[in-house]
Amino acid sequence: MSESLQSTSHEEAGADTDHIPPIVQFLPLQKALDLARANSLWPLTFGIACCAIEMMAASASRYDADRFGAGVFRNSPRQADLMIVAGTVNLKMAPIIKRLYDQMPSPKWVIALGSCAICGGPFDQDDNYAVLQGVEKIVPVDIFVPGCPPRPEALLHAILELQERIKSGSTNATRA
Amino acid sequence: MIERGFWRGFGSLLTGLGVTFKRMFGKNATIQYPHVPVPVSPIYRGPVRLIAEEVASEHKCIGCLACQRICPTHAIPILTVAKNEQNKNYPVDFVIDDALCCFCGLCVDVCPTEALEHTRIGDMAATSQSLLRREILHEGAITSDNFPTSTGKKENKHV
Amino acid sequence: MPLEPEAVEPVAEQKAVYPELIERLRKAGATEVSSLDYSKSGMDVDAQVTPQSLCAVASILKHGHFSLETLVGVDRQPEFEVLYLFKADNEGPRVKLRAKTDRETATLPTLTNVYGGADWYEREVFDMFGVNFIDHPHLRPLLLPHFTKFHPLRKDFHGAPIVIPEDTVEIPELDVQAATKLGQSTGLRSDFFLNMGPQHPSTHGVLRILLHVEGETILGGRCHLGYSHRGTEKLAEKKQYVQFLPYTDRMDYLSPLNYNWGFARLLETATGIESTPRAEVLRVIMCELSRIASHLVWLGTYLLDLGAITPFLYCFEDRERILTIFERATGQRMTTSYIVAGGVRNDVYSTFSLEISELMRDMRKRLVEYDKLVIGNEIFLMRTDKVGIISPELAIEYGVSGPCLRGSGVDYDARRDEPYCELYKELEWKVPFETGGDCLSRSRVRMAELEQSVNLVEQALLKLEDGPVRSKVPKIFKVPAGEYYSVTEGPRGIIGWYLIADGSQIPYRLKVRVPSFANLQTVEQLMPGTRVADVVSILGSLDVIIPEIDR
Ligand code: SF4
Ligand code: SF4
Ligand code: SF4
Repeated sequence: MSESLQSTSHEEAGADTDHIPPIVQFLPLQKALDLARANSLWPLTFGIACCAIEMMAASASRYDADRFGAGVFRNSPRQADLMIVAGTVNLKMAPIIKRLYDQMPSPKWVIALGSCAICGGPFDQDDNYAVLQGVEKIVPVDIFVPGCPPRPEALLHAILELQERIKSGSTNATRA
Repeated sequence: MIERGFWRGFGSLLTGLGVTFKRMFGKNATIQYPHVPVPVSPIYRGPVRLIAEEVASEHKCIGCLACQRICPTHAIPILTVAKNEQNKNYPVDFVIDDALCCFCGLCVDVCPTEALEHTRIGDMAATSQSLLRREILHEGAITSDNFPTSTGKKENKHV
Repeated sequence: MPLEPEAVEPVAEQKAVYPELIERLRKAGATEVSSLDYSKSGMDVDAQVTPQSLCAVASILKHGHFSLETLVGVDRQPEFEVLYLFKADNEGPRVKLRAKTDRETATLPTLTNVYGGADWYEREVFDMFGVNFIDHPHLRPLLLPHFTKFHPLRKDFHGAPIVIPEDTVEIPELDVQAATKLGQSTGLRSDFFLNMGPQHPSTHGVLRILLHVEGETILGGRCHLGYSHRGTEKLAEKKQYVQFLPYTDRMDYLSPLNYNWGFARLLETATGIESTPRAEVLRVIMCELSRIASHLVWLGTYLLDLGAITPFLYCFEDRERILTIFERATGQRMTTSYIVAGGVRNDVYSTFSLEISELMRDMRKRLVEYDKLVIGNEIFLMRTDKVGIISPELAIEYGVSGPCLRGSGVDYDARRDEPYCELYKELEWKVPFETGGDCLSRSRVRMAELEQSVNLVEQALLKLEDGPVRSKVPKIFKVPAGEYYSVTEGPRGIIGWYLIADGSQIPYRLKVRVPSFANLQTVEQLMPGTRVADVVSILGSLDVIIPEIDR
């Protein structure tokens, strides 16, 4: 209950992407919220290229991301709090990613999955004219997963790592 | 007409349920990562490292730069070479950027002295991009657990 | 390396030169018509056309039921050349038309009046080279963002800074002509537009379709591509042939091995290097496994789009088993980089055959199950039967290939009709095809193909004999100057590689003909008159891979 209350009040203030902590902080409540958030990450269904298939594999039977509460892939950014950028981000796509990120309610986190999302990977080469040098240029990234594509368990590891960070309250993302 | 469709639909529903029901008694498909490690193939092409079992400086690299030249993604940003007393080349700086690497294995194939190999680390995640640049000359044997990016993985294993 | 016993065969088998066709092309206005050696260049007939005679010559081909396979733009410095590659329906020749235009004017007449399928190809050439096609109905950038001012594949272009301007989200742009045509005939009128994608769960990647709708009925639609364009073709002009290998995996990531093979075959055609018998068998096994894996993903995601969730889990479970084999044999799950010119990169492990035959045994059982679950399912039938009908004429005009073509009743499969591997001739299998042309037929073809692939793998395993897996390849890999084309049959259709080599270690121009491009292009023709929910069904049945289209 209070989770939704807090985040809505922030949205109304238009402080969506700013790092403004609430004026009154209540430590035990904050801890409880962090714990709840860490264990119910809702990723956005959002595959761009090859890495997206490994993301699908991570949520399928063999790896089953649901075990960590992170398997409920949402189709709408309004219902998601974790963006997994899985694939090559190019000039045409970048504004859309930015917009999707802005549409997600805070607090929100970003995992850059694969070389492309980290730094343009194999495509940011000599005569590059299309591929963005990493999604970090447009949205704040919490976890980087190297690999081309990363194995599904690398994504699971990233999710675990992110949960750890959320619990300890040390992510880049906006904190409500 | 509608009725026939209805019954056929009902039939296909039962078929579907039957298939699902049978699956309940099949083998378990899920691997309980991180409690159980995911099996990785012996020839898996993971992050590249220099072969050096105990002493990190005992590697076979002769600084020919072939690996740097062949790398399609320029994932070996730094490889500087110096000459020793016997006028032989040896590397003084050797950095591999795992963020750029596409794990193609061309560098391993091209190396004339077989100084490079792939590790079999499948699960890596870093909290910053700079952690992914590895100085491979002095790192020795890396494993999934002491890979420079696996902060906090040990604790995670017992969530 | 044992020599092939029937070394005399090439002479006997040499394809006929096509005097009749050449004569007719000449009459229509083509200059410099000549026949080429198929085994060396992958093409049969080569003809130079003037801009004035282009449409007339193309009409001749159209009457001969040729399909337009792709357009290749080339910067010949200083002038531009556009190559039109045509393919006759079955055993007929492959024809290449060449049209030149100088750098300053850079204009050619459009071919869209003759071949509807030329539409996107011409837009791509317009994008990449800045060649204007006069009277093209919709000449605007296809792959590049609308704000770019450069033409990347020109030789004098050397990269551009990556900057994102402030307001880049494109204004919905209507294809009023196409949209209102149907509106007039049905009396429906609307100015409501619906944006589907780029972030949409059932577009399988980042495709954006702008739908013009009246209620639930679609009056017209336009695809917007390029959301995962990565400039692979420009990169190819900077990378050595060996270095380009990893990029071939990343075009169609569901069947990387088929792309590896296509590229290897291109290099083998160009340099005359031959692979070893064991490598050939391994290639067939791996590529058929890759086809199975790819079709399984199609099955899972298609049903997911249509509302069934559990089959997705089953399909991925089976696919994981195949990927495990790939990982053990090649070293990677998806980006395999396995098949190279002269063979394969490494030999397989000892229990390879055993594991695969066990998997294939299970697979057969699974296929029966899937068949029951899917093709017999009433909801599935209602969503797919008579939806999105591609007529054989449309398929040929647009250069549709693969299961989509065979679902439309055209019996063509490059594995059988243009055998690029001897093994496909020896093994016993058949090319499944259906005549409906709707989503259901395409699905049926794929299900049947799954079975045939299992057949092929099982038989090929028996042919696996000891031997080297890679023949001798020169350390410095160069391709003699010339132009080469090679096709292979991927899970989605014809994968064609067109290479212009200048004798160095780096391609002068490398063009990939991707199957999904042509297959997706039909969707604009299929949409009018259907419902919004049918678009999902049609898209899924075409089984497109967006990064493959965008490259
Ligand atoms: S990182 Fe590699 S696998 Fe992932 S999207 Fe980029 S090219 Fe594809
Ligand atoms: S594996 Fe490939 S991409 Fe990675 S360093 Fe070696 S050559 Fe470069
Ligand atoms: S190719 Fe091998 S020997 Fe040459 S620089 Fe690289 S690691 Fe050293």
